[in-house]
Amino acid sequence: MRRSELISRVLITAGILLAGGMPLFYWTRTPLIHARMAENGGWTPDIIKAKVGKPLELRLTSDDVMHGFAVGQMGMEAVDVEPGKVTDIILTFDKPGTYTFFCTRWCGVNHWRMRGTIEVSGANVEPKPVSVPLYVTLGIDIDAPHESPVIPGTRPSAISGQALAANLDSSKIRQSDFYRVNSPYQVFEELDPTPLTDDEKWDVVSTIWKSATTSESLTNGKRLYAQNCGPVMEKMAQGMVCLRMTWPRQAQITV
Amino acid sequence: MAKIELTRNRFLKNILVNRDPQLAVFIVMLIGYIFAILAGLIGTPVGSHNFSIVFVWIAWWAILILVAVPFFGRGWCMVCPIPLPGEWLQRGAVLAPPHKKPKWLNLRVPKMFRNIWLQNISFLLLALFSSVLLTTPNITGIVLAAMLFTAIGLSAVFERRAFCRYLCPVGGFIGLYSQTAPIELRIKEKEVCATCEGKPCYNGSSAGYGCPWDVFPGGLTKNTYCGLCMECIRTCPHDNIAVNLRPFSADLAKPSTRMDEAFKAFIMLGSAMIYAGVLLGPWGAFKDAAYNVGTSAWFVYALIFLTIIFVILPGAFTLGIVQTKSHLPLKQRFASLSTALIPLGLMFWVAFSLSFVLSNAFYIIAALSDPLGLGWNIFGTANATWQPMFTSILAPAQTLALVGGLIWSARTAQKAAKEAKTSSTPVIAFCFVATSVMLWLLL
Repeated sequence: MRRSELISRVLITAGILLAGGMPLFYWTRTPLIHARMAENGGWTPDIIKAKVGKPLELRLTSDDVMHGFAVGQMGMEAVDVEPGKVTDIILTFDKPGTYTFFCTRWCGVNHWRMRGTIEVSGANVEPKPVSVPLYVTLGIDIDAPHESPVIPGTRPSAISGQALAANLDSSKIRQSDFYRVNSPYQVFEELDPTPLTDDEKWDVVSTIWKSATTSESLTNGKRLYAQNCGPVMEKMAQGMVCLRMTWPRQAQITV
Repeated sequence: MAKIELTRNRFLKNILVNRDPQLAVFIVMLIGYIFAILAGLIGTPVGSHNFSIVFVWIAWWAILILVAVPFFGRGWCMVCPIPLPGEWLQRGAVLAPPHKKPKWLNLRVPKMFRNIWLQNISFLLLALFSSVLLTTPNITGIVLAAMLFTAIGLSAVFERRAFCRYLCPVGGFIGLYSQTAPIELRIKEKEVCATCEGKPCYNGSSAGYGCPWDVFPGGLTKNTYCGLCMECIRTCPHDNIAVNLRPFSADLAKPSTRMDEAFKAFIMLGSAMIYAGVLLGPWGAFKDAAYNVGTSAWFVYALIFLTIIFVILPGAFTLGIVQTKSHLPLKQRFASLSTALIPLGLMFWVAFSLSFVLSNAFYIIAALSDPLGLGWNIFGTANATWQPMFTSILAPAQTLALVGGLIWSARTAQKAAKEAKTSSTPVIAFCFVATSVMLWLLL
């Protein structure tokens, strides 16, 4: 074989090995946590192991739309996970346990199903499961539509409803668990046997919702809405985001 | 404008004759191709950040349709890496000239397939799945790999570059449009070829291989099937092969009468118009139908696509020319006059490509730094913010391309009609209507 032929064969083989081997080498050495909309798989992997006190380096990427990442019970600032880009974060856990991580961007109709867990173990300490979320304890199906066939004709007033609520016999509706597991319309229906007019019933509903929250909670809710839902809603309104979803018709309660 | 023989320049000729520069380009292209396959298969599924999508469907496509085809004809085929592994295995060598029979079966391609119908079909197959293909990296990776392995498989069974000549979906339209390019490879003296013993340019010699494109250079009258591989320049013992600079669309003065080539012109023209409507238009339902492969909406889209290409466009064209008087039978007249659609189709593709190339070219900068979406930042440009480029010149450039294409086609139609001794008016009218539709779709 001529020298030039031999050199060219070596070069071609080296080139093919480089072109094929290099991406495979780096790909296998770059473990990424992939975020996809829940219906397409959610987080992959969705179970991550970590050790107490040892920094956990995570490289997050999105395979479809903008997602966010945060870990419950950590007080960490949520980070954005952009399509095709990689977000690096380092977490350090000081307690063993099973931590939930979740998407913080409203990425689709099944956004709240986009969850995973980080199992943090410590020396001689077995991970303990954290308490289950409140909506599980209360048996609320958060995905079920809570439709409202009737909505207030006028803007309800929590102040007007205060006196009306005080005169009602039913103490059931003022219990916090009742408020948590029922929609405004269900409370409205519960008031059916009372002599109140529809507008007065909505005033009572408004009072119940007002008494079950605080101005801090409302401020926090507004902030979360603006951060996670506002831009999406705005884009939906502009036709930039197309999600197939059925919105539950809910009573508009202003407190 | 007279032809200018570029190969008179000794430096250029040495570069073309010497195998080393071409091999160097081949190796780089092959590395890029294999990298594109792997990027598609293992890289981020986000198309705008994946090397396979960004470099194949934006960078390569832009170079191909805006530069390579209009100015160099089959210049891309000259450096295309797809047939190389198969060809090297077939020859049993990379550089060494043949000293023994080619390896493997080395069969002749059956006569019924020695046309570009298979290329028409392969292009249409990709075109029907294009919305998915152009946006989904792993599909792009699979298609690129399939083309590579098909080329190897065909090289194992058939002689020469059967894949390039008869199956490559890209090679088909490059060949068609290469007729408009101002570059050609031709013989200098016909008599020299007629008396040449052994025809080493076709059969090969110790100086090089016989034409991989199954073309006898002595009979070359148009660019369509010459892959500019330069083997004949190496093997010609009489220095009778030249690469010339010539006027644009010189080959179109001699209209083809082949139906496969005529339909290629309609396929390309129709595809550009459909893409302009579906990919760039405001109709979401069309986009959904084109993207959701396998659904009933997609089948309707495919049916409409094929109907426009095989029924509406050729039907309208035929209705226009059927009444004109000519000594040629209708079928020949159809094929001959459809030559006028070649420059029009090319300009349609130029105008269409300008839209998405200028709006997406910025992704190239980001993908250069992080080709697999693994979080690299090789050149510090991974986080470059996307912005469309030269949008102010887009509409004027598209209008110029389309109107220029119409004028070019009208001139070609006049020449083709003169050859067929018939009127060019219906063809020009057809081109005018098609251009008006394209202007409406793009602007």
